[in-house]
Amino acid sequence: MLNFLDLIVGFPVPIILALLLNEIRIKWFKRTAQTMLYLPHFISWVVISGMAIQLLATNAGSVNVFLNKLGFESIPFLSDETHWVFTYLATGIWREAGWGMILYLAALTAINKDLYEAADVDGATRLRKTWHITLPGIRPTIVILLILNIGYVATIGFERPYLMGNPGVREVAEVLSTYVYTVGIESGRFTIATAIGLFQSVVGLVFLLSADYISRKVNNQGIW
Amino acid sequence: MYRAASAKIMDAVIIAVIGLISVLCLLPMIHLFALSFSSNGAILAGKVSFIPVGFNLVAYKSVFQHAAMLQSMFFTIGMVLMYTAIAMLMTIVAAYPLTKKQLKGRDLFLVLIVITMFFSGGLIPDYLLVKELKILDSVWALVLPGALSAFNLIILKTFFSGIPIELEESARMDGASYFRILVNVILPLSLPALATLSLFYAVGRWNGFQDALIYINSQHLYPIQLKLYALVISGQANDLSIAEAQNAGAPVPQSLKSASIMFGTLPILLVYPFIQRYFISGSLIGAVKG
Repeated sequence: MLNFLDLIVGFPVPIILALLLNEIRIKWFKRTAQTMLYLPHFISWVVISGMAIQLLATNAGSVNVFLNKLGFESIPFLSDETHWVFTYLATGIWREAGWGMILYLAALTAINKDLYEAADVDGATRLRKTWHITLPGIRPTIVILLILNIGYVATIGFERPYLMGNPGVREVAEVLSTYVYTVGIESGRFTIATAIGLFQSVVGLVFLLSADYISRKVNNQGIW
Repeated sequence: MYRAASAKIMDAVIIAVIGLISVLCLLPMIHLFALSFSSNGAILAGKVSFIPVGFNLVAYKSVFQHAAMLQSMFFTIGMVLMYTAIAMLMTIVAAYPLTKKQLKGRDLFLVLIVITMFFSGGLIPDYLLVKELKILDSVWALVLPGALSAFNLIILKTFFSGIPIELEESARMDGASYFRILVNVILPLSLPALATLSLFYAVGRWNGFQDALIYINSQHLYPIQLKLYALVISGQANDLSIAEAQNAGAPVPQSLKSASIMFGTLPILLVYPFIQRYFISGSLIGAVKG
């Protein structure tokens, strides 16, 4: 469930970032922004969760202290289930969006510059150029990454839910991989935990192959 | 005229948006940085935002005086170095033969390797394997299972394949063995790729948490991430301050936790500006294969 939300919310963000960054012509600004955007990718989930707790805790978290000062109520970012899901998604985007952008940026540089010039001659606006030239230009990249991400939907993510979760939000924070950990390692019920883990792997593979199959049918393009 | 003006506004808006997002990537770090250097009073009063208030080093002092923390840091550094060396050795000796068309069963090997990228037995079989190998709760449990990444292997194989075959052929004419060619011809030409992959391995190992959580029990084998987890998240920050509980100047948990986080992340933050372009070139080598 969390992973599906992750995919739906998180997938478009790097594309949008790449498109925006692509429009910037000031070289040094572009480079600095890129450096800053990639940085979170190299920070571990342990540290990110630690930071999230420091910043977002209901009582002493910096954000809530700040809100209280302004006269607002505290927001239970980590303890309320709905809020927690948003926080969870946000940390995922915070960490990975900049990194995901790299591939799109690379794909963007491969687009034929003549197309833009032709569009300029025809008087196309910037938005139209983005829509009709840039997006179709990076479509193969988008499709491949989408397939791969669908394949990972069932498999990824032990560290993030495990580290971000707390007893108050167990209902939503429990995903297959954390369940396998709790049942298998903590309670030592290896048989059932192995079965769940294997099931997870199989589902992931099925997702991947079917996404690839559909993409081949529709787009004539797969990952292999 | 109108067109040019609207284009300029558009530019400004885009720059503002990207600038804002970029700053958002840094702010949490800066805030923690500020907290870690601030005085207790200022933190409790909520005065600290992005600049330290009441600058002091008390929090860092307790982190550095915490023997287990330092020990964990040194252990992690050593472990990461060992892991990276072993992993690079494995990756190189696996990638090079796979570039050779005359290798019997090459396609089969490749398929078997790629399958592991998408399908695995799961957590419990891994755990049982490590247990049966009798390396549970030892440094080998952290080093060996991840000693070859299929993804990195394919990146390196792709890179090796891009080296002109003529170079190798002429070396063979001169009577060089495959091993000699690998060491004297291929590797020197692959330094950028080798650097990138070493960094991938090292950062991955540095940030790795799950396997340590599962395989490691003894305190003295805690890698820094597990240590941070114990201190910052599962709320044993008291461990750190017990020594100073009697001391009136003991730092509050906020600054203590922030200091620990900075302590554990610092190595990455320090090298990051220098290595980030390698990462990018590396991830693009991987992209080209598609």
